[in-house]
Order: sequence, then C-alpha cells, then structure tokens
Amino acid sequence: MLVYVTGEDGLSFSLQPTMSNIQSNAQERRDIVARYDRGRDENATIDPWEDPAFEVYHKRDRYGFIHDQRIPSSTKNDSKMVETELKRVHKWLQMLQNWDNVVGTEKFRRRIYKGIPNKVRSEVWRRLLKIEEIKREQEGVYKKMRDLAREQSPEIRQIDLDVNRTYRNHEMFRERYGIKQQALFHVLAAYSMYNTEVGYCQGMSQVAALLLMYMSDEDAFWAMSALLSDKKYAMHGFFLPGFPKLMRFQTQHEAILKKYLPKVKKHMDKHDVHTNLYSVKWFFQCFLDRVPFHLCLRLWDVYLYEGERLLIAMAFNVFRMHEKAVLKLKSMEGVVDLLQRNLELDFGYPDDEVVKRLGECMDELRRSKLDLPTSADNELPTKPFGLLYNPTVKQMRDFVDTRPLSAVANGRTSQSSSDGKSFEGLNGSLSSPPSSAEKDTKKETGRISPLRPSSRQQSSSSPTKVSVYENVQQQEGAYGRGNRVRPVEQPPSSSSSAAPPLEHNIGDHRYVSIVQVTTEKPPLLSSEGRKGGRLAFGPDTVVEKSEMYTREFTTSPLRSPTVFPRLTAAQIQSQKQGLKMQSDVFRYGTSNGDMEMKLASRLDGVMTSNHGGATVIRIGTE
Amino acid sequence: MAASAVASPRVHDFKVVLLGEGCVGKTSLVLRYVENKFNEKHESTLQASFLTKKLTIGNRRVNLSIWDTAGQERFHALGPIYYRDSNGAILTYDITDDDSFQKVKNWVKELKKMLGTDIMLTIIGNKTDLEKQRNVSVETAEQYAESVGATHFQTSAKLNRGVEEVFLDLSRRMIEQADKQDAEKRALSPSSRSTAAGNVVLLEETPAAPIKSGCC
Repeated sequence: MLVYVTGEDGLSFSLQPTMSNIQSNAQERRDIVARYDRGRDENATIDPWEDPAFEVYHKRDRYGFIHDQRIPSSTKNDSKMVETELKRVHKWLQMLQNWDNVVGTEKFRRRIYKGIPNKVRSEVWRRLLKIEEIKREQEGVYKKMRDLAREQSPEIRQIDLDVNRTYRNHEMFRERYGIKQQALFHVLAAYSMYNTEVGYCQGMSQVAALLLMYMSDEDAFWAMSALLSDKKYAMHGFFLPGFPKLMRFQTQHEAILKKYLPKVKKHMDKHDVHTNLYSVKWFFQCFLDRVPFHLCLRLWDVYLYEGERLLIAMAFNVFRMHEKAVLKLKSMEGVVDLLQRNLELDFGYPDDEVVKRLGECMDELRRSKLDLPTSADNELPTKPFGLLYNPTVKQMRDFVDTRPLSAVANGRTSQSSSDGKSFEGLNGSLSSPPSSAEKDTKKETGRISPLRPSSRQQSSSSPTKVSVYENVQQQEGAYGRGNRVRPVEQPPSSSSSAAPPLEHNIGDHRYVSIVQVTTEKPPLLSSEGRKGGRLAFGPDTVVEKSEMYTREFTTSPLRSPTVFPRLTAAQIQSQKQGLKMQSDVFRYGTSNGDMEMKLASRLDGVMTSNHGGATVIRIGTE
Repeated sequence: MAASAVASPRVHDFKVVLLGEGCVGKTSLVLRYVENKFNEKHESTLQASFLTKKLTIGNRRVNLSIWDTAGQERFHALGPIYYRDSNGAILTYDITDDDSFQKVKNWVKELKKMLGTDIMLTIIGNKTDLEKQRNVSVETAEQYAESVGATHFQTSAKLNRGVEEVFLDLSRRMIEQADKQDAEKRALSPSSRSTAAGNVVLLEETPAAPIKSGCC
C-alpha cells in the first residue's frame, strides 16, 4: 500500500507504511467488526440511558403517554402503519402548500378519513381551525386575557385543581408546574376570562391538553375558541351551565338507537343504562378517555373536518360495532363498564376499520337526515368575547355623563386626554371588585384592569388589526354587602334584551357599545352560601341587570370576525322591544345621530319598582 | 352458622351516591374502599362512574353500587340522575376547606327536598391527613350532621383512615331502613305477612362484634 502525502513544499513523496502499522490497523478494524458481530456484552458497564431496558423507553408510547407497564415491542403491523404514515406525509405536505384549492375536495376528505399523519397533524389541525387567521385578527388578545386572568379569573381555583389531574400520564403534563402545565393553566384561565358565559367547565382541561400536545399555548387558546364558538363545533353549548347541548345530543342519539338498533335500545332501557351514564365524555371531549388515544386522534381528525356530526355518528358507530357485546351484558354495571372503561383499553377493531365504518354511519345518518339534531339558538354565545371589566350602574352613568358623545364623535375632544380621563373616571370609582353572582369560586380580589390609553397606543401601532376592546358588564355590587336573602322557591330563569349598538369614533378608533338588560328570577339560594347572600325576594321578584359592552376597534368599518359572534343586527332588533318595556330604566335616543343613555330614577343602592305586577329590583352600587 | 338457619340471608342491593365539591376526595374514597388504592394523580371525574363492593354484615349480604359524581358546581344539574333511587348518600367535604362544607349543606337540603327521609345520609370530612390546615371544626360538623339526621365521619383516603367505617355504618343504616320499609309494607298488606314474616323480620340489632366485610 502506498500513501501519497503532499508536503508543504509541494513535493510529493511516497511513504511506505510499516508492517506494524498495517497490522494494527487491520486489528482495529477486525475488532470493530467483531464487536458488531458479537452484539452487546452483558457485562459491560454502561450509562442508564444507554440501556434499552431503561424503563422509560418501554413505557412511553409514540404519543408521549407514559404507561405503567412496558409497551409490547412493536409488531409488524405497527411498523407497517408507521411506514404508510410516512408515505402519506409527503402527500400531505403537498396539500398544505396548495391548501385553499384542496381543502374542499373529495380527495381531501378521503385523506382525512385515512388519518392525518402525526407529523403534520399539528399543522393540519391549525389550518382546519383557521388559527392563523384568528390570531392575526385578534393579535395580542390572548396575552391580554392571560394577564387579566391572573388578576381576576374567578375560575382559577377549579382550573388549578384540574390542571393537577389532567393527563398526568403524559410526559408533557407529568411535571407539576412544568412548562406544559403552565401552558394548560394559562390557556384555560385566559379562556375563562374571554368567554365569560362558559368560564371554565370540567372537561375543557382535557380538550385543551390535547390541543397543547400539538400546538403552542396561544394557538391552543384560539383553537379552544374556535371549538367553542364556531358553529361547526359549537362546544359552547356543551359547557354552558345546564348543558343544553348535551341534552339535545343525547336525545338525538337515543332516537338513532331506537330507529337503527332497537334491540340495543330496549336492552339499555331494561337495564337502566341512561344515556348520561356513558355519553358525557363522548360529547364533551369528543371521545377522549373513552377510546384508545390513537383511535381518538383519528376521530379528532374527522371531527375537526366534519364538525359536530362526528359526535352523533361515532356514538351510533360504537353501538353498531359493539351491538353483540352490549346485548350480552346483562347488567347496567357491565354495560357501563364496557362503555366507560373497556373500550378505552381496547376498542376491539383496527382504527382504520372503525373510521371506515364511522364514515358509513355518517353517510347513513345523513341520508335519513338524522346526522344532526335540530339546531338550537340558546346554545350559542350571546355575550361579546373578551370584555375586560364590569362597571357599576353608577360608572355607566358617569361614563355617559362625563363624555358627551356628540362632542367625542365630532372629534372635539382629543383622543388621548379625553379617553384617559373619562375612562379613568370610570375606574376611579371602582372601589369594589365586581363579584359575579354566577361565579361562585373563591373571589380573586384584584385590581380591575382599566381601559388604558396604553392599550390603545398598542393597538394603533398596527392599524390593520381589529382588536382590543375593553369593557364592561354588569353590576351586582349589592351582592355580598350584608344583604341576606330569603331563599326563593323557584328555579332561576332569565331573559335578556339589548339595545341597538351605540357607535362612535374617536380618532381612528371606533367604539361600539351594546347595552343588554337582563332580567332573571333569582335562583334558589341559601343565605349561607358562599355567594354572600342576595336580597330578599318575593315570588314575583325579578332582578334586572344592565350590562354594557363596549368594544374598541382600531379600524372601521366594523366587521364581525368569524369566530366572534356578537349580537347580530337581527338579534338586537328582535330584542329591542324587550328593552322598551324597561324604558324606565334606560332610555335610548338617537337624536342628532348621537346616542344618549339615561338612567331613570335613583342609581345608588337598590331600587324597586313595579312592572306588570312583578317587583323589579335593580341592583347597583354607588 | 346457627343464625342463618333461622333467617335465610337476604341480599340487599343498595345504591350509594357520593356528592360533594370538586377535589374533596370523592373518587379517592371509593377507590380506597373498593380497591384499597390511593392515586395521587387521578383524573377529575367528569362522567359519573360507579364501583361495586360486596360485604356481609351479620348474616346480611349487601351489594353496594357506589356512584361517584363530578364535583364542579355546574354538574349539579346532572345530580338527580345519580341520586334518584339511591338508598344512601355520602356527602363529602374537605376539612381544610370551609366552602366545601357549605356545599354539603346545599346537598343535604336538596336531597331532603327531593327524597325526604328515604335516603340515609352520611357526612364525611375527608383529608384528615391535613389536620394542620383544618378549617372546619369537628364540633360544627358533628352538630350540623346531627341536626339533619346524618352521621358524621372523618376520613383520610390517603392514609386509609376511617373509610371502611363509613360504608359499614351506612350499610347498617340502609339495612335498618329497608327492614323498616318492609315492615311497613307488611303492615299494609296482611296477606304477605303470613308468607314473608318469618323470613325477614327484625333479626337483631346489628351485632357489634363480628362484622365481616370483604370483597367476594
């Protein structure tokens, strides 16, 4: 063997390797090869992480869940599945580049049903939920809500309890107060401020956690928002107090069983297996914790594509695929065990088959028009999202009094000073934190975040976005002021009405306010409840709350971002009449194009008046 | 056993529902009692679920199905589905959290209103392992329990303190109640008296010493 070496001087010379060199090189090579031939030496000392017996390798599945037992080593089937997925990744990457053209196609649908490869799942889910668009539209809102929640969210306690017990068997959430637990906490807390009608409901933590396995906290927040308020999913109605949508979906589900699987339905009735005993997690969390996680991801793929009809179809599919098993079980216990526990451990069919038959169920239901229950209006959000604080009646009056809107609208007041002043006036009198009667969690006494000029500067720095509203809702300050209540033996009921939106501009900012007057029967409440008691009510008592929502937009024209339903013009119109009825409380006028709002009679403390025989008690604080 | 020759042992199927605020330890109590497990990191209960336990008290065999429910306030809307037809209710509070004790009172009111005196009530203060952080005094709780005809226990599901006793006591009372109801029935229908009387009547005060319980 000759080795040529080029020296610095450019001269080449040959080097004759010595015999010993050759021998030692050869030996080394042989040793190396031999070591591979021999395989691992059981006696060698190695670091724990080098040991494939290192338990975590065997307990963590490909989705990050840590199991108590070793996961059986992958079968041929598994590796084939992974291989197919890898092949599909390529196709999906192409589709992602050509998203708008491909998204409505039959091919796209087919591929969704085949399963989104886990590698691109995050991106596809984000696209399906239109997260980028929302985020652009609502820039800064998540952070704002998150910060606000730290000070004010009345749901913090429950959220904390639940973060502590959400998917602790997943590597992301195992560590108490770890990064993903922080994210989960912030997403839920922020959302509780953002959507005050729902606040936080158990069940949401699992959904948020799933989203966080695939996206950042801000994205997960907007994904939550889309899932709750986009009509396609409308989970809002599930989580809303009273669970109106759950009832509606359960009824639909029962009707389907009755029609297509009458034997099963009879069997369930015979053994007292109420739909409620198994369907809560199916509907609230789209089958999370009720089918194996890998199958659940496939269901979520379809759910995000098809929307809420997936829930109905899959509920049907479960019974269709397990009809025999269900009929064999002769006790409620057995059936519930199957549906609540055993199907999660093992669904009994390959995922592909489950999803294929799910598609068939969906088609069949669609044909017979049973794929969705009749819609219900009372399940959608009615309050604007992302409002920042609750003023008292007096503050609302001051707001109006100190700011002649005509002057503002005509631009006679300069933006910064007038805003700062008037809004500070608003805040200045906020002596007590708003305590919402519906929220019974421990009070978070915190400073109320004012509408600060800074927020406006922030928003005007990028004039294209529609964002940042502050504000305003409801006064119930008289609660908790030592007024003790006689319980009223009546279920709570309520109605609400809204005035046409008040609009005005300051500089390039547009403010839109809606005043909503809610009357409700006071709920049955003990005087010892932690809510601190309410006023004494007779059976005819109606409590009236006035809520004003103001949003600030940095651009006109005003538009409704897709996932931000506000009261529509039609809704407002239909509710206008209700407002007139209460014209002794508020009056709206539009003379000269300006809005004026007057509060009749006294504002401080509690007022009562008669309204068609019922006593109206208005609650407001000084 | 000689006694069982006298009265053929009757099997009671009792339904018990656990109610109480979120995170007071309802699931932990059932898990401890039925499976003798304690899991620090369990899930919150969203979907009510149930576990069963068989036990023998004296010569009575009892099948308990214990329903565990979600604790968050808004899930109370679903409460009636679970407490309806219940023979007993275990209302749980966390001794470190007075609010959870107030919630128990709400539940008592609701159950009394909906089910009257048919349902046996047990109130338990859980988490006695956190004695140092106690916020609900034993006297207050006992007084209250007495005033509403409930028994009161203190437990720690974590340390397995007092859990067994809760279910034993409740089971005994449910048996008594069942006997009482049977007796009332017989009093109303004389025909059944002749046939059934010998079998089921008033066996005894539940024996103090040899209580066996165990899963079969």
